[in-house]
Amino acid sequence: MIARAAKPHLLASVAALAMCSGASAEPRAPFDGDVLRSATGIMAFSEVPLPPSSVHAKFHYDTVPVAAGITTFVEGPSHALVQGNITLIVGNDAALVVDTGHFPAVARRVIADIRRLTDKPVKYVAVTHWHMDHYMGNAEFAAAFPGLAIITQNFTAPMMDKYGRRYVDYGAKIEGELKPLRDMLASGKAPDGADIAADRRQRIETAIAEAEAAKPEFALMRYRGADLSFENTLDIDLGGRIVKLMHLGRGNTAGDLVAYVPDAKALITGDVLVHPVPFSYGSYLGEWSAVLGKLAELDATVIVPGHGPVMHDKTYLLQVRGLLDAVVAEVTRVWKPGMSGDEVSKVMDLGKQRDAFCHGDKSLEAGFKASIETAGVDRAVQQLEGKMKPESFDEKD
Amino acid sequence: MPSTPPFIRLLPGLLAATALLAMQPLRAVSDPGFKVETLADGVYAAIRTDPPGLMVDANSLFIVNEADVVVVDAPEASAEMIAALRKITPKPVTYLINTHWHDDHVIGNAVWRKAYPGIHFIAHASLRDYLPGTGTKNREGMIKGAPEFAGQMQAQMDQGRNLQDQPISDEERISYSSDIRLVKHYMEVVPGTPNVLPDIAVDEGLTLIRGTRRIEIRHLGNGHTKADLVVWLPAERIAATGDLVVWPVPLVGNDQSHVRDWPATLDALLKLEPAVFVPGHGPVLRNADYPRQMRDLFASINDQVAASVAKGASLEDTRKAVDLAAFRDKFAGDSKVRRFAFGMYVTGPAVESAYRDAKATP
Repeated sequence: MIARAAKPHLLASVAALAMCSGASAEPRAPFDGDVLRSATGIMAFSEVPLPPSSVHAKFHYDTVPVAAGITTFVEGPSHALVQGNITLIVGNDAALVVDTGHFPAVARRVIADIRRLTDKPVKYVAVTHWHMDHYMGNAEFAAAFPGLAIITQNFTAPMMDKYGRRYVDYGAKIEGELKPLRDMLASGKAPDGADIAADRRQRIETAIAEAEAAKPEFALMRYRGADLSFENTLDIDLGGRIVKLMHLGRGNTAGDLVAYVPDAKALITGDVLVHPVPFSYGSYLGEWSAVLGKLAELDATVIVPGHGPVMHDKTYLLQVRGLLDAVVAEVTRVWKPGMSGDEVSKVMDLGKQRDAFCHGDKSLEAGFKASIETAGVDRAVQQLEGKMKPESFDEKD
Repeated sequence: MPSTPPFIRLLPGLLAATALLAMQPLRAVSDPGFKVETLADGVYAAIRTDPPGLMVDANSLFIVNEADVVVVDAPEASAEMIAALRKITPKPVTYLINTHWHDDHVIGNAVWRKAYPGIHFIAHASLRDYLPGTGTKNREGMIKGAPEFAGQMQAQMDQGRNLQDQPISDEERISYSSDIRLVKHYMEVVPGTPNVLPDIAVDEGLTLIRGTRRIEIRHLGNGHTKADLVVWLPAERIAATGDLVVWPVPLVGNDQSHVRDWPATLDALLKLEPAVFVPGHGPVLRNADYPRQMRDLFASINDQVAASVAKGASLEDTRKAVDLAAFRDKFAGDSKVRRFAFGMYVTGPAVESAYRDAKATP
């Protein structure tokens, strides 16, 4: 849960946790889709309590009816290997799938489930944004459904090409990332010389098991990019059902796509909405709030977030909007020219919002601290400075 | 062609209940009515070879990519175009773009879908409303009126008189014969053909990513219709314009065209700096002279009409006040066929369109 709250993406989640533990060499670095950045990341992972069932549940998902002809494969609870929700929308002639997930094995199982749910071909995939846990299943869908058109926003298409293409090679790097952890287990000592306590040992073992479980997935993974991209709107006619694909402004990323099905009053948001804690690495908080405002105006009675459960009202959406507004307001209140994000974090107070999202849960609080109070604050500061850094830190500032 | 065939609206006197006379195709059976020109690596234009006339079928563009083919427009001669494409490549057609909603650009969709079942159709979102409604109604009118028109053209030729009741020239005879041939083909192809609406509907644009090829589909503004799309190949600098650009004279469909907006839309097209224009009708254009001439024509019409409206003039007075003689010379020279077409497709409908818009929002 914690890892999911912190990062919508496998092992990269580790880097996020590094931020909240203070163990990372680059504690305030924005999201880099590329990586398991460093051993420090995995070590940090071992510092944070994990749900005990995480390994066993690693590729679990729930099949949830959303509306007539709409089904979401909802990411299972309690695991660190994040996997964006996958949503099937069926019309009279064809089907559209929103996001294809992170792992080939999951995509294959979802495809088999889709074939059980409908005899209509999947002719379209809409990718909500460029983070890899939302589209590394593209190749599986393209192989299963020849002629498939993969659609995304103009900003997203080249970002997918850049990060997705290189991510397929990531499996080869995992062992190197794990070595310091294995050394710790072997020596019983942390790099600072401290003894490894039993609970910490268990967490390190879990982290290693998680990473090892992902290795075969990388061997299966192939990259498949977009066939078409658009700027603001595109309508897909599935036969008796229109799906409106919309980019309503920058939010979680600069290319967020949402899918809206007017006849079903169903809204599929991608990571513009993430439960239980929003994901705000490389995001655009002020503009994001405006996007959520536009979504709130849509006639939607069911909302599928990028991660988390299917929702039947706008309560959480409005809560996230309130949080983003609060972060921007608080940063604006305390920030003075020259102040860093770190300095702002120290003097600002988001306690009320933290409690509202985390309810005292330590794991959620760690995720909240990493995503909102650190990464989100940095982005709000950058916005005030008028110098937004790229969404991903391997781009030149 | 405009959805309400202008000749049916503007030549009611000619459309007395003339029996449909036997039509004699002058063209060899093997001539598909277009020729295929290679514009760049993998980019082929299918360009109509008909002489200028009142009846037209549209050009098309084949964009052959690494693994598939993208086609622009689905004319009445789509079956013949599919045969031509198959001589070029066995690759499947995956996307077809309709540059707007008129039958000579969309009626072939059904044929393309039959030939390539996985094909996606891309068009402006307004097609979804237009085609099943006004478009279908206008098609029924065309199916009803076109044979009478062709019969009338045949009668004119038999009597040796042109449509203005003057002795017919060789140029007019060739043009009328072409019109008759196109009507005959239209009647073979169009009646009973189902509407195939876009499954991918754009508002402002879309980029197709086909291997290394980038194909941009842009709605640059209103002009010939409010559904006009331009297909732009940025690497090759080729623009398929649909009927935003039509040679030898522009094609203005009175109530569907937007003369007021047309100059700005053409400016947006010119700003792309295409090296090659593939017009909806007419030959491949290798420079911007003709599109610029069209822009100047519409800008002049707008200026003249606005001045007339400012004086409170009626439509009839405005028609008299607007002087397009110099433009008619530029577009039509001394060709009787082109001068007649200019009057039919430009002077009449364009002034009315500009007048309507000027009255609505001065």
